[in-house]
Amino acid sequence: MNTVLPLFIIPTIGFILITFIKDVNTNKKLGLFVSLLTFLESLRLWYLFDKSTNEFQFNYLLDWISIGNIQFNILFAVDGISLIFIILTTLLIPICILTSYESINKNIKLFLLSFLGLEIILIGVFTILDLFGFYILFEAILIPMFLIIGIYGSREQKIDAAYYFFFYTLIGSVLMLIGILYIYSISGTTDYLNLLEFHFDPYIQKFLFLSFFASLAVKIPKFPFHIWLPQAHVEAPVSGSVILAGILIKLGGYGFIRFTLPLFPDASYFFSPLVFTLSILGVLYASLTTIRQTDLKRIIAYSSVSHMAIVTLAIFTFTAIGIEGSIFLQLAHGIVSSALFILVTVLYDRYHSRLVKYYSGVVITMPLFVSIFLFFTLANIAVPLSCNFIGEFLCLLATFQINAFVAIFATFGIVLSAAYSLFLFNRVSFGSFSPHLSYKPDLSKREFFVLLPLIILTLLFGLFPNLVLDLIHSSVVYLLTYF
Amino acid sequence: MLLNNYHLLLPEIYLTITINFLLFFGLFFLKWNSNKLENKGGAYNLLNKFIFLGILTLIWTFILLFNNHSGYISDIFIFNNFNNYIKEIITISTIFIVLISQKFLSIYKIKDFEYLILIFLSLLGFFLLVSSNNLLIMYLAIETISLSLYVLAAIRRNNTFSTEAGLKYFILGALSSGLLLFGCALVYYSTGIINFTDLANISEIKDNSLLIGSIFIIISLLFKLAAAPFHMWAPDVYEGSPTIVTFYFAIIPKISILYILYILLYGPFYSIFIPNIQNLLLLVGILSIIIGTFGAIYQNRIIRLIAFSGIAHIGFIILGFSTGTFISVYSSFIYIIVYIIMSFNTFSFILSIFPNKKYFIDLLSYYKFNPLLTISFAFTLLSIAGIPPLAGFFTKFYILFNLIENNFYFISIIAIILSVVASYYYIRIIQFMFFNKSSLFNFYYTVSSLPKLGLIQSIVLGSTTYFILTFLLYPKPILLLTFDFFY
Repeated sequence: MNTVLPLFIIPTIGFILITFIKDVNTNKKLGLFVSLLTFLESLRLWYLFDKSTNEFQFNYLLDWISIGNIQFNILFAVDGISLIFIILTTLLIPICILTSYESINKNIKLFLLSFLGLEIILIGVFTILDLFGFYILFEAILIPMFLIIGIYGSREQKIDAAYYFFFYTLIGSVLMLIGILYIYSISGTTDYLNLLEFHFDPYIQKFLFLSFFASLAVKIPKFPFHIWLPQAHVEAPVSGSVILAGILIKLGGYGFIRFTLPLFPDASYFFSPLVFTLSILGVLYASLTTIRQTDLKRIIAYSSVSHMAIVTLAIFTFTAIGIEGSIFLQLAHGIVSSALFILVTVLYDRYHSRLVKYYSGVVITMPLFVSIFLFFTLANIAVPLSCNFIGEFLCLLATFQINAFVAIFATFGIVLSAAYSLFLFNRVSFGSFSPHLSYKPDLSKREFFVLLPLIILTLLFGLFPNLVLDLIHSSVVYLLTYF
Repeated sequence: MLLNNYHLLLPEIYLTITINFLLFFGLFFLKWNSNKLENKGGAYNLLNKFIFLGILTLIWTFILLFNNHSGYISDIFIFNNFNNYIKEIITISTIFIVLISQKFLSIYKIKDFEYLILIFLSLLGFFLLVSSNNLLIMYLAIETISLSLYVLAAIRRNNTFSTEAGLKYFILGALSSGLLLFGCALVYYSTGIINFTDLANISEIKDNSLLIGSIFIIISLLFKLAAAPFHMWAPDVYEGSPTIVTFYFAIIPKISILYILYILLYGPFYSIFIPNIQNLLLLVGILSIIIGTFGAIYQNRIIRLIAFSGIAHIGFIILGFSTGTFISVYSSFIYIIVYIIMSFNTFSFILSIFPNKKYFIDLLSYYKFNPLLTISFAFTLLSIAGIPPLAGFFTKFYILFNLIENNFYFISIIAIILSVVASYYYIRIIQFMFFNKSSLFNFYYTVSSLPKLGLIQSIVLGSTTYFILTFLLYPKPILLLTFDFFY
């Protein structure tokens, strides 16, 4: 049984059961149960994972097409890097279902089906070791996400947001498809492990890199291609925002680490100044834009853009520390920004406004909320003991080794992140109690227990970063041997 | 001499005899009875019985097709596994089209039994067309088909649009038939041969008349396929003729004409393919994609959108033909098979929401009224747009892959960017169905005309949706369908 197959089977069974069960409450419980079961299964894989080797483990070979002389087998397996992302996925899906447990009250079945479908696709993306399969699953995410933003979004602009999301991603990924087709036509395979041994001509690598970059940079999102992200975040329901900030934008980082670096090392090195420039611009621009935003969700969305810019910066240092730091920062950002989105929605559920100017003095009525908000605000600034700190520290350390000038600019981003995070926290929590607000109860039991695992994980990874770093170290070092 | 291998023609002979029989039956029994029963609404009852008879005929034809042998009749007909297989696809599609359409005859006020006779006549034409091994037989078969289809388009005699569609189709179709005949004459003038097998073996080309003649023939076939720039008739005819006839137009002619195009390009005209015809096909392919894509963006009516998207699809298929390798033609045939399956789903859905709805806006928040039907249609639209895990993606991918294998990078990039543009208008329908809120008027309007799906329609919708969703998990069956003919 030690393959990745159960990770697919458990949500699929849940998906089929929910399709045929009519009762709404049973469906909700079933969806939650199934996603938690998947989470436990991913933890089991973590427990069984052999950290000492760099081999891909829990292999499952899918005999996809074999007719005549056409052989197309697809390998599903995990190494340390993908396991981290899988655990993040399986952790966030039950949290998504639980946060929307009461706020979504129509089309619940489609909602649960989209999330379980999304979970299956995401696990597939992180386990598949085939470029073509990666592309298929990478783009398959569009369909459930498009429906989630479009159907469950709260305002009329949700349609624009869904279009932005759909077309930005689609335009990028079709260029990647051309790249993948070209790779297949010159190398005769799209199998990742075989392609690692295949050396592409440096001149061709540049075009291939650009075609992959077009897709992954939109996804991550890099500075000039980031327009869709704040829009999609603002209009999506809270669970959509959580999954978007938590996992979907990490796909870009995963793609860079997994495919771009080892497959096109020369081109990656050639284009690294471009990536550095875009990253610095992204950090500064996104941070400065964040400060002047008035919408709670938009603030967190723009802060994601600046954090992900630091992630790409670290990836393109091509050092083990940098890549480990970038993975760690992605994990940390997945936890912390998800928690911030949930917290913002706690406010929105009570007062039905996302504009900062209507909020002040919330601490008077909601002390528990404010203390958790403070905790995650500090984590977002990357104060020591939070998991963000480890990630940003490693990222900046690696950047400093490669290019001190870039690192100094990137550090400005940290300062600015303190500015916008504390500014937001201050305006919402302190001051006199706003006349626009009325008394509303503090965090409910459900909301608290949604946030509790995120608090624990933030502290846990902040105090014991080796839990993650041990897991990814040998895989990262192995990837860098191809560089 | 002619009757040497007559048993090969058994399905065609059977079909001919049955058509005559059905014609007599309809004329002397049905007409007389329906005149008597007109006031009691019994005409449709009788017509349904007539259609039942017709479906039995089709099933029997289908069984006869299984008893296939390879061989020639003189040098005018060729019978092999591939064209037999195409005939099977045509027959089974016609069975389903007639079964689905049966329910809607009364809605479109088609009382005439000739509807079925005309479908059978065109079917006979398609059978003869895919078996033809001779330019003249090909011309005659195409004329048989075209004449039946002209009348089918105008079958609603009282409807202005339908007659307009028939007339438009007739005038433009007659022009293309003229071109076809002229092309055949030029080929004959140049070579003195009208037989495909002999034309394929011709070694030296004396003058340009073979080239001009072949281009005329290909253009007239492209006209029948509604490939741009010969597409002008398609949107009007699709929209004007009753949707059950459009259903037939959109599926059956495409596959058989593509088959004969393949036979011509890779047989008789292969000697002039690479220098001359390839550029024509590339031009037609890319132009079809451009016109299909940008033409569809401005449409507000579903059938016109389907017509333009059909043009874009034909563009992709023609691009598959244009590389000159068998594997790429193979990908084109995979494309057409998946396209047929997706068209079944689309038209079943469109028929189910007809007759009082033809604008997208009528689909406003349709999700609330019939979630399952709407979701299945949404998946079909995404599949037609070519979004990955669905069937339509695989076919597009396969064509693009073959283009890149043959170094047509620029064309493949244009095609793929345009397919992104094309996904806009499919997404727009999904937006209307899922995201927009409906007004109160629209709500009552929709509720008052909710469809009742028939059994056959539900089966077709369900199985095609299942196919679209799971094709990529297990593509082997479809890939094997035409595999033997190309490898």
